[in-house]
Amino acid sequence: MEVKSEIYAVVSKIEVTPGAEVAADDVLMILESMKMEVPVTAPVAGRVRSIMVVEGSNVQEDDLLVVLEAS
Amino acid sequence: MSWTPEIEQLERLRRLRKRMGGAESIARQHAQGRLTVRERVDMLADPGSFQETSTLAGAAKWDDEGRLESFRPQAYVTGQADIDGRPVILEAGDFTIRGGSADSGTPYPRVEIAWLAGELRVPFIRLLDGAGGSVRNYDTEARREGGDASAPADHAASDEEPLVDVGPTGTPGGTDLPARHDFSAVAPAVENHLATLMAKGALLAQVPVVAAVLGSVAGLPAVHAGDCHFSVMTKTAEVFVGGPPMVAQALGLTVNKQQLGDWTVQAKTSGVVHNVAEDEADAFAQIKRFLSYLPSNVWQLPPWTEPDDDPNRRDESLVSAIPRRRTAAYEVRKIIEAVVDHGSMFEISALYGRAMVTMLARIDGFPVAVLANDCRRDGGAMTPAACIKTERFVDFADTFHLPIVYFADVPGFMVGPESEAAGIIRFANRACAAVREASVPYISIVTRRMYGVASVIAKADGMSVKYAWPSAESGSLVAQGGVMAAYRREIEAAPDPLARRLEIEDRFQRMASVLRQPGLARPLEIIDPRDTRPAIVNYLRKSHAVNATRLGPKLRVGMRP
Repeated sequence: MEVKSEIYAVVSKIEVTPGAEVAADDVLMILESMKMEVPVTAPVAGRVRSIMVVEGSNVQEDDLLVVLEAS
Repeated sequence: MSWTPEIEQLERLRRLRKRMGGAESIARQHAQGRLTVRERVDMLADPGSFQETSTLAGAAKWDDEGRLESFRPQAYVTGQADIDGRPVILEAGDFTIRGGSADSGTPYPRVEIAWLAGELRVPFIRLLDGAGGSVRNYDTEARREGGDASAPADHAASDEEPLVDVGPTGTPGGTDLPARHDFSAVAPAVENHLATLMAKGALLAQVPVVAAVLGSVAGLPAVHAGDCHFSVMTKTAEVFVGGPPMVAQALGLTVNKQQLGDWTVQAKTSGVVHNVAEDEADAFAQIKRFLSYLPSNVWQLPPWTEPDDDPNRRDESLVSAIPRRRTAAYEVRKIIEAVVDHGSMFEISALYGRAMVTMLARIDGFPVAVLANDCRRDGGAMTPAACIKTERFVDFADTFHLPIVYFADVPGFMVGPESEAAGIIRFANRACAAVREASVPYISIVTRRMYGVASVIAKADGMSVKYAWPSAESGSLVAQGGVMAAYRREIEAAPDPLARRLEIEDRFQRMASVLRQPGLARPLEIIDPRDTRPAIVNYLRKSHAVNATRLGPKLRVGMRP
């Protein structure tokens, strides 16, 4: 499952590592936009397969952030 | 002598009309994943409720013996129907007949049906699938005359298929000068009430008007997509004033229909269309849902329904809904969900002007219009799009006497070159004017920030009330931006400018707290967030009697900035 950015933002903090098990609603990373920190959460429980950005990346709307394997 | 032959003739023409553009055109329509106009009407209307009007709309051609040679149905189906037990008026385009061309016949059936919606004071629904005018209608060669409709005919039903003719219509060898061009939703003024007269027959001031974009829609029907209170389009539909050939001709640009006007353009970027539907069934479900919150006309109150939710429910999640750290974003829809009646949220225009959330919902069974700043989008700042969306939604709520509930967390109007170039100053003015004009019960809950002129959206005059959560803060501008502007020299002269700036900001931040202020403009109370629902219910019940005395069209004078 692909987790995409809903906003234009800078990746300020990545909270998970590849291979990590996450529950639904767990915070995957924090995006910063207009001085607001916007958490990106897991839509479903699963395992983090890959993280497509690094801290400091600029992301656009619909950019791929994380690939999850739903459990 | 009875009139049986004529009656048979009538029925035969009606049968022909139901064949639409013929088997081939219908197959093409289905191949595109789209329903025919008849299937759509059946799906939207309550079973058996559809009463077609102008059933003979079209043109027939007869031979010298009075036998029917051909029949060309009009590319529109019109009639009365019920939706969830309530009467409505329907107008539906038929793409299988010459691409649903708007001038495929006389305009009178459609004008009549719009007037009927105004006279009967019931919702008017347009299912759009078709183009506007076609130059083929000016083509003398292609034109065929209609004949004497009273002559009997003796064709068997099995012969009827080839009789359906979808050739061009219109004035041969010339164009029609529009005499009374009814391009908008019109209705007669049917009483002497001042506001009704001032509404000058505008259907939008009287009954709910809905548009569904279900195919490739251009020209006049495209204008109709914007002439409504609520519009929905499928992901396979497009709407534009002029299609790719016209764009190529006029601008030399090569674009496809999707690039010109699919849902990503019209429901996301332009905001012309409110909602996106997965398929046509979803579009009809959304139309029904939309209408369920509305009265049939502005002379009635929005329909109250027995709530299955406790009016005094105090949702625990609200006490920690606003993060203590002021830069942390939260999902405002979860706050709305915790306050309104269970399962009653219906978001309008979710993809456009996203810094402001607009929704229909119910609280204690009362339909309400919900506004909420979304701090996850543009920091919650009022962008030009958010202002336009707010203005339109407030006007709509006011027209139908829907109380407005606003969850305020706004840092101000959007700053920056993009916002200025898009005209934020004008659209900010217009949004504020709409809020000032609104005369419905207006309840603002200040959850966090309320800064600058944008705080006007939390209405302070008229029938309004304002509650604040302890997390509320306000001022003429956010401390972080304002301190640097006002204390530049002092900050730059300090040994450690950054530390000095943060120190000043911190001082102002504490001052901004609602707990330090003698009053937000017209505050009622600073409340425990968990008491929000009971507080809103109380005001809705109290203001309901007043709202009920203000029915009818809204008197609007002057002009918006």
